[in-house]
Amino acid sequence: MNNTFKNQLDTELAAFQWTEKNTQHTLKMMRGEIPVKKRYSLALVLAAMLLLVSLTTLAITNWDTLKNFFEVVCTMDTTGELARWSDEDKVKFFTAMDKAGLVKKDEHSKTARDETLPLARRAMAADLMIAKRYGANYFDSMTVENHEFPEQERTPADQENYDTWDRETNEKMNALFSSLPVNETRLYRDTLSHLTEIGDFPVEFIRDVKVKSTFDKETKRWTITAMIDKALYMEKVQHYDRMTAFNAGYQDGDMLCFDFYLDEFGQYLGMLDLSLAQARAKITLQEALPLAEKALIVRTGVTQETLDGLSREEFFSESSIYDTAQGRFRAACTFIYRDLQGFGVFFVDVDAVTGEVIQAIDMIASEKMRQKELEWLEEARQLLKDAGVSSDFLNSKGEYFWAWTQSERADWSKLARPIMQNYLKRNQEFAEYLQEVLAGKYDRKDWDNLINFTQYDYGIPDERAISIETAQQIAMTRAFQMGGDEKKLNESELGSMYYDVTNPARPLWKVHLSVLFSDADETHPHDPYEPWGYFVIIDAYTGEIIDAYPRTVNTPIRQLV
Amino acid sequence: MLPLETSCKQKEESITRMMEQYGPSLIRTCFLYLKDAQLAEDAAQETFLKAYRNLDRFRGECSEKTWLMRIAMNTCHDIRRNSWFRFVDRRVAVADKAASEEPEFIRDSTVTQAVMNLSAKYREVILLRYYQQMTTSEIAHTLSTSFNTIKSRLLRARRLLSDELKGWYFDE
Repeated sequence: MNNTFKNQLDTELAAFQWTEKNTQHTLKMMRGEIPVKKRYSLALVLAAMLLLVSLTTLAITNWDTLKNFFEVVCTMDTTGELARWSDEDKVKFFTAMDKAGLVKKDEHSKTARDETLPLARRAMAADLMIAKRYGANYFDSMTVENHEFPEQERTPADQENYDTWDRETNEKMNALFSSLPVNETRLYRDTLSHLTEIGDFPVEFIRDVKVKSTFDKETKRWTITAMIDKALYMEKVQHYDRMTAFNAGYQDGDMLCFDFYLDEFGQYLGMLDLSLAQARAKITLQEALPLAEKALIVRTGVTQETLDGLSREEFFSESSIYDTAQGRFRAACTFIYRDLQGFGVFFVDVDAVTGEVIQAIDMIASEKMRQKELEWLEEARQLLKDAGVSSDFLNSKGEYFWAWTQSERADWSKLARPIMQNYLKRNQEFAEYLQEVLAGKYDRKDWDNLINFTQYDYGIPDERAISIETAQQIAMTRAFQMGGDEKKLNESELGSMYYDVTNPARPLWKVHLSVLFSDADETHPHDPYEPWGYFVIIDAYTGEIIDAYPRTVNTPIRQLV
Repeated sequence: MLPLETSCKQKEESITRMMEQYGPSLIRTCFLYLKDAQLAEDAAQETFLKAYRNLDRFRGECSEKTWLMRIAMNTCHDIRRNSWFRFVDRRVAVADKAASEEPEFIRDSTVTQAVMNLSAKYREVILLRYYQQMTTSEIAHTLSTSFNTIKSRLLRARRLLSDELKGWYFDE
């Protein structure tokens, strides 16, 4: 809400500015060059007060009656009885209403007053009367005050009285609240307050929330779990912020749960934030450690003895693997081993939910191979240059490779690919390195674009091929079937089209559809649950779809050309 | 934070800087609280004047913005409390006082109106939290009220505001 609200107010009040005139006027006041506006004289104040005494006498009497009622309600609000709303709470509230003269004489009020009747029956009658006056859902003391003593009907003296009482009562209630033991009603009160941390929790549902608590003697910390029936919550909440509720709540059976933490005195410490990797983890760092070390030993050849001789950092983190269904990166247990100088030597990410080893890297070897890779690529670029072929992937208009026309790409590919293929044949170590990158041996997720763009032969369509428009349409239809947003796909500028003739007998249209818009485009904010685009591979002669997959954060360029 | 016994010139420079930095949002906050453009101007100017007079006493116990907002809110409270005297002076009864006519400078006034429809106590916490983007602790310090009281008020204020802005803000 924050920035939208502020921006909207600023927009609506854009013409209302602090001006240079304001600055100069203030400076003149500071220098004493112009007088400061004075408050009215005491005489006038007293005269005005005398004038209004007769008008306010009745209001003060009414106020005295209401004040006592408000005290009770405020106290019940503070202690959590209004939130808990047990039968005792209902009867207590009703009794206070009755004393304040706010109850009509009828059958319900007679039942509610009758102390010989069972509590449940009295409470039901009381609840009916209370609901009729203040609503059936949860209400707080302010609701009662505004109902019985509306601000717009208060005289200035009323307001003064109310403000004084309000200030004094606030202090009293704060003291009361602070002194409350962490009992059942207190927990309800806390929950009410803390649920605001998760944003748009519909507070009228507080009475549908069940609360349970545990106290950890070691950490001296309360864990309060507020639970609400998930179906009820989802049905009634108007604006379910997926990220907020997702981060704050978890499901336990049919219930949506929110965990808060209080210290032994009941002071709020924080809440369970499921957006944190640690909160999402199902395994501990201790459990992940042997998995990490085993992977390092197997994949890099390091010995346990070497690992034991290094210093180790361990923490929960966001891994490099993006889970579109979750709308975030997978939580990981991360281990970094460092030498005496503090340089990283080994790095492991273990999936904190499944225990799968995401990556186990020898950082020194990785860095060495990266340097070698750069040298190989430099040699390869020199070969291209000698042959008069550019390797900056820009056409004459300064457009990058994926924006080229089919013929531009075909012309380039005809020259560049054979050179690169020959180079890789002559440098087996480089070719093996590229495969090891795919296997996750090094700290690289993709090949250099010089390799990516020379994987395939590109050509231009012959007379047998389906048209580019037909290929686009086939790809769009497939993207819709895969869940792509039709509006966004229709609006987006088409990603790229490639005509792959690596197998001349079966050329392929490769269509990359993107739904990514610029960061500044507020009309199309990126949905974390959506892919970035779709890649569809089509038999150029038959129109048959060979393959299709979404493009996500983790899709390398290698798979999009 | 200025050292003690700062020269008038330095103080003036500091306040001028503050006026440039905080003036726009502060005058709008005053307007939204007081619901009157002229009173808002008075409040904002008086805030900076008070800041100037008390600059030597500011020891950095809170942020500059929090300090200014505290002065502003107290000034607005005083003005609001005293503004009914104007009606007596002009022989207009309090009950007959109409709400300020909407100034010309407000165009689409959906959110402005929604904020102004809140009672004073809710208005101030909403403005400090969502317009001035202060934390709950800073608001408690600004209004000399407890953290828990502010949280309660914010809770209620949000409820009222979301009812009021249904169909606008939530149609995203």
